[in-house]
Amino acid sequence: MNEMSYGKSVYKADKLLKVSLAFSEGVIRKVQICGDFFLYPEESITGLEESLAGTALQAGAIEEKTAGFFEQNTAYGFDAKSLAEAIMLARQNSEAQQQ
Amino acid sequence: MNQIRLLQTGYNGAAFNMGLDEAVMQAAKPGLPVLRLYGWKPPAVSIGYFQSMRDEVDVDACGKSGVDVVRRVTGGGAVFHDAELTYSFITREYPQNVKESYELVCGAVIAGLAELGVQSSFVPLNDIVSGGKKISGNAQTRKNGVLLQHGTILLEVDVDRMFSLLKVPSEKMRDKLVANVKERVTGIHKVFEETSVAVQHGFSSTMQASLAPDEPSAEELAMAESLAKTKYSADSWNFLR
Repeated sequence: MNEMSYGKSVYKADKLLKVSLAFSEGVIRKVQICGDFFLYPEESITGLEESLAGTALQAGAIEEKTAGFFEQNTAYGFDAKSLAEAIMLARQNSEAQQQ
Repeated sequence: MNQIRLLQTGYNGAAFNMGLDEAVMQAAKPGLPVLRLYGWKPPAVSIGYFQSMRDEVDVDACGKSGVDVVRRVTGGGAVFHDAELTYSFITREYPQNVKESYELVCGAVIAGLAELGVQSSFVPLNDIVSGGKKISGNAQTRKNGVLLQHGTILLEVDVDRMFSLLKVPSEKMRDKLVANVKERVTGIHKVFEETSVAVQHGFSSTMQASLAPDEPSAEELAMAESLAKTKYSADSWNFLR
């Protein structure tokens, strides 16, 4: 397995998303989603984060993976699209740091 | 007439305040909503459930200033609790639609503030504004069929002190952020007691219920103290994210 890379992003959706990302070989290994958003039930955030592990690090794949989550839970301040963009920004920031 | 159980629990530390909110929520009875009014001594910074304590709060600065830090069970942003009246409204009967439930509870606060001559309005999802500036931030959770909405009614705002306790992306940004918040947030310039009375009236009229003054039960107090110790003072909770 290639070396793990790490990235962080601060992304302004309707609320602020702060993403910490670990990835390798173009795949999400671990992600933490913080911010001042609302999500009901709150504890569902853990399932959302865990569900992203193993997902291809591509906006479309992330959106597709999380679409069901946003249908089943009530989120205010972010959605599948903004989450995907925040995660991709974390990757971009990681690569910019390495250069 | 319907009744609202009224708890005026005075000033307490952050861990106890959050512990008592949770204890009252767990003890909530059908048909008897609870309005709790309280303050914070020492002052405190609370963060939203989804925020990172390390990212948002200068914990060392808080410690040196004698300011408590705590994670809430509710989402939303970091709040510096100092010159404010805080309310909690806890009920088993509430609109399932999240925006509608915020609007209902914030409407009670707005009605109370009008009694003080403060004209304000609800801005979805969770703010109350007056004269174009935020005077109240609110947050809610729903657990086991119970709604808890708590919110701050800002009496005075010390933005400089607030930012001395919060992390900023960079020192270069600090002045800009302080100026921005000073533009957007203000206090109502009233004192705690008169605001408390007005808010009580606002809840009574909006919910069409009489207020039944009460004290937290021995069980609620014991649970609040236990939660304060084991959860809201614990790094495992406060530094969860």
